[in-house]
Amino acid sequence: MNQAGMQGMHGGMQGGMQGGMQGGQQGFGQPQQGYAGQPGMGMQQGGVPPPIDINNPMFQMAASSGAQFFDSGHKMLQNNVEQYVSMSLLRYYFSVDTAYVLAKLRILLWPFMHKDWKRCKDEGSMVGYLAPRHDVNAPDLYIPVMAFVTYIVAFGLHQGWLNSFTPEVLGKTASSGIGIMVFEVLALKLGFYLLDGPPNRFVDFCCYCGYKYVGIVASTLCYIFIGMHWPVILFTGLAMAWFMFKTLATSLILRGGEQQMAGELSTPHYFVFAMAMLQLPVTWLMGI
Amino acid sequence: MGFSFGDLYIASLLFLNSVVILHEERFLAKHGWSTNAPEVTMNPGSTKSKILSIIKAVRLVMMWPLIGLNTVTVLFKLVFG
Repeated sequence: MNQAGMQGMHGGMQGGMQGGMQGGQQGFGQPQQGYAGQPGMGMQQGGVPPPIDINNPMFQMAASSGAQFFDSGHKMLQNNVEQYVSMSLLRYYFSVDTAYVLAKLRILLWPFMHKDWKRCKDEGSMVGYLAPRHDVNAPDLYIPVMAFVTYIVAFGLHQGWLNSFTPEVLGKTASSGIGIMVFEVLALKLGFYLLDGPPNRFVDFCCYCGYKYVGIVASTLCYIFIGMHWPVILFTGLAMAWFMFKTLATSLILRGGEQQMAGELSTPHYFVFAMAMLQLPVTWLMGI
Repeated sequence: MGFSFGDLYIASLLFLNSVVILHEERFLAKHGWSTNAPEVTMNPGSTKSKILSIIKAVRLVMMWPLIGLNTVTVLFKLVFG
């Protein structure tokens, strides 16, 4: 039954697409014509008769069955993915707004003047901390994912500039980026386990390791447009090292409260320092 | 800079091998890293006891899958180079 239904929806979409193409120069309304009822709107200005008649019962049936199958597919996807990745947890990491993103980018590129690195506790939320849009120190997944994709695109742009671009470059960059991140996150997790740290989530570590891509994107773009990227790599590497140091220290060293700021160097300090300094060579390695 | 998933796979395979071959009685105990030593049983939360328990867990879980993966990888390398 599903097969036939999919065929029907596909047929409906096809009809919609073709009608849209024949309509002429309208922009992005086309793919939606199977679902939304707006096809007539933009077209009347061109003087072309609307290719889809809203009042046609066939169109309405196709639209409703299309919506139905979209719904059931969405439910099926949700059920299957929920076992592996908790969607509501991910929703926490993506609840950002513009003010947060701007503040976070400022902190990532100039962390030296940021004073308070503690995350605010929030008993009601899933994670136990305030959502990113309310707390600048909370990790989020939006910036790392965006920076990672931008890095892949910028790297491809650089290769294109050098006339040595092949489509495999994008895939290779993605897999090596993910590979380095996997090693780093595993090292962080191992270190936190061995040093008796508070149980940070796996996703938190992915966020922290993903923030370095902001600096890498900046240095890549500098390399493309200015041609000289050593100062930028050095600076963003140092900024990321400082950021990681402060973030991990807040989580690992200050967990017992403020009285542990006595200043004696112990293994947690060394570990955090090492992980932070690791950002520098990794930044250089990922850059060009 | 490109290292591919294949390189990642070989690297992690070798790394896991290196953890799994640390036999407790024949090797670790001779260098003072036994799980029956008093300093390990006394404070179970110490770094040394955690490392030992990680090694033990990795050996327990990954020994047979690693035997299989090693065989497959060696055959693959023999055939395809």
